[in-house]
Amino acid sequence: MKILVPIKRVIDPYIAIRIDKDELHVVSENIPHAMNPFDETALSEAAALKNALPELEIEIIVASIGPAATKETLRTALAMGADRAIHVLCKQPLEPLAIAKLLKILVDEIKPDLVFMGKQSADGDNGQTGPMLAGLLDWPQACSASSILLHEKQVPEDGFGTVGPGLARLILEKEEENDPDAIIVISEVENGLASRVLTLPALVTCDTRLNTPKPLSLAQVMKAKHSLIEQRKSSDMTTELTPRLAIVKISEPPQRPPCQIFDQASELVAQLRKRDLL
Amino acid sequence: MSNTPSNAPAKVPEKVLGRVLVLADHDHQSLSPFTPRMVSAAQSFDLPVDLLVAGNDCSPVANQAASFDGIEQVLLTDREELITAGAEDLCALLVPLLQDTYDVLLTPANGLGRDLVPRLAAQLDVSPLSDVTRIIEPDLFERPIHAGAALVQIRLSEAKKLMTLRAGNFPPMKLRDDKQAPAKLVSLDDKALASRKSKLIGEEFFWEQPSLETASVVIGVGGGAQDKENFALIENLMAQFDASLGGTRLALELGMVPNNELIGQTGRTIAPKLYIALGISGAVQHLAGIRDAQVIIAINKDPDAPIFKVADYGLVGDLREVLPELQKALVL
Repeated sequence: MKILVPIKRVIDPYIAIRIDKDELHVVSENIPHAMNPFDETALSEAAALKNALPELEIEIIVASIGPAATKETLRTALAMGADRAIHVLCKQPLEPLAIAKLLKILVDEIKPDLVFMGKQSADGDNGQTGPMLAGLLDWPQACSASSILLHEKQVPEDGFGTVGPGLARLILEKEEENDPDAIIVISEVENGLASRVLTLPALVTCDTRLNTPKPLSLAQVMKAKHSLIEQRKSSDMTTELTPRLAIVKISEPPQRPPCQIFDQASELVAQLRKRDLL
Repeated sequence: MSNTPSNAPAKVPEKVLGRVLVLADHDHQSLSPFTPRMVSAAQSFDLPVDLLVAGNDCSPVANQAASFDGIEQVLLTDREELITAGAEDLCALLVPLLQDTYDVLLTPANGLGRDLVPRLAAQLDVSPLSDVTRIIEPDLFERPIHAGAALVQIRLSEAKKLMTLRAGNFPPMKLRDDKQAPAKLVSLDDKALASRKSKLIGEEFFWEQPSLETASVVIGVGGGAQDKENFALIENLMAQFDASLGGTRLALELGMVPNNELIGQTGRTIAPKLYIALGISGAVQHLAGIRDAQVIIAINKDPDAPIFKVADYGLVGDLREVLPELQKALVL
């Protein structure tokens, strides 16, 4: 089973961003970058499934589109357990639709059974690339996964989210007999959880709550240092990448007035009454 | 690029057709509070507005929708397979509607909208916008990036404008007055749906409360509210304010609120009249979800907690002491 995990290199989401003087960019030069945490979760899930289910012979391919520095992120991905890494060199920033089109070209070549990716990037917060890629491929999709079930071995005794153990085994046994062609994904929705059966090939976007990525060992990092990263160029990949969106202005959110601290709860209540908030 | 006919991008006609379609958000029985807010946002385009109700046994929803002002037609497609309508089904229904009739599609930025709009946009070969918080001009929109640390204004020149809206940021549309006839109902039941490659097999609802996105008062709990002694106090406060309850990632991990009620970048984004943060320190990821609240009250024992940087009003102290005082003051 082949799992493709597209990953994005983003400005470290745990540091404060700075808006450029031109008000059109977020400053990214000389700023620490990291793997998009949602993609990190997706990759970490693929690696955990590979270890837990040797019978599926899972091969993990990671791909990232971006400038030369993107290779660092791909090294981290190799250290996390990816078997192959593909870097698509592209100097200009791309919109989600263009990324999805480039990824479609890779999917058509690699022919994975599954694509796992973050449900959104921590910079643009669009959450578009996953469902766009599924739409371009006409594949089924499940977004914001909180559990991914590929094999009946993974079904716990008391069932699996909203799927009772009987039903989950039935569905996945059926999968065993035919080729592995059905998986169960449990996604978080507004009111709770929704379980879906997806026919492979399929695309799953992952929430950070799916797992907690383990810290890397020195041995993993050293090994990945010498692994091959396959090099491609977006300009060699025939698809239309022109931007469709024009950024007019980037600004900080309006400053809220300074916080008024009250000594007594009664003073707070009086203020709320005054502002007609009760 | 190897394109099979089934996944080739659909051709979008050049001519301007000029209608707005709002996807109704409902539970097959009644409209969610998102829908009237999207209808009011839809008026910003200065085009006729129609509403699509897709579901099973959902004609009451369509009738309810027809009573809102600002809607010309309610399109209804009512069939059993739509009880579990997902992005794939709705794409099959919406691609021809957007090719032939509509220039704008608005959905709420909830699970369904976030799944549907990018998929549909890719099939129409257009760039959509996610989580729009403000419509400045009919082609100029504002949305947050970097977990709300910045706002970006984007000019969208696509012939077809598809977007998810943070509905809580728009005022609700009023009902038609008695003299006005309800909006016209149009059936779409003859339209084909997609062949299913994904199927919903179960849903589990944790609890019932007014949705965090549309509740007028939301109480948020963090790690600092964990003490069991606080729970009854928080419950009382919820009753006093008629509030919905959400929490931080830590509150979730401590099992204080169900997973789906996480407020923040990875969870829900709220815009209530009043947000009351209890024992919440104010991590960037949480603040991303509460920036649009009109008034934020923070109660925390640490006076240096970052939550006080965004709060309007604060009380510094232990919840076990502050909450009973607050409750007493509220009933006076």
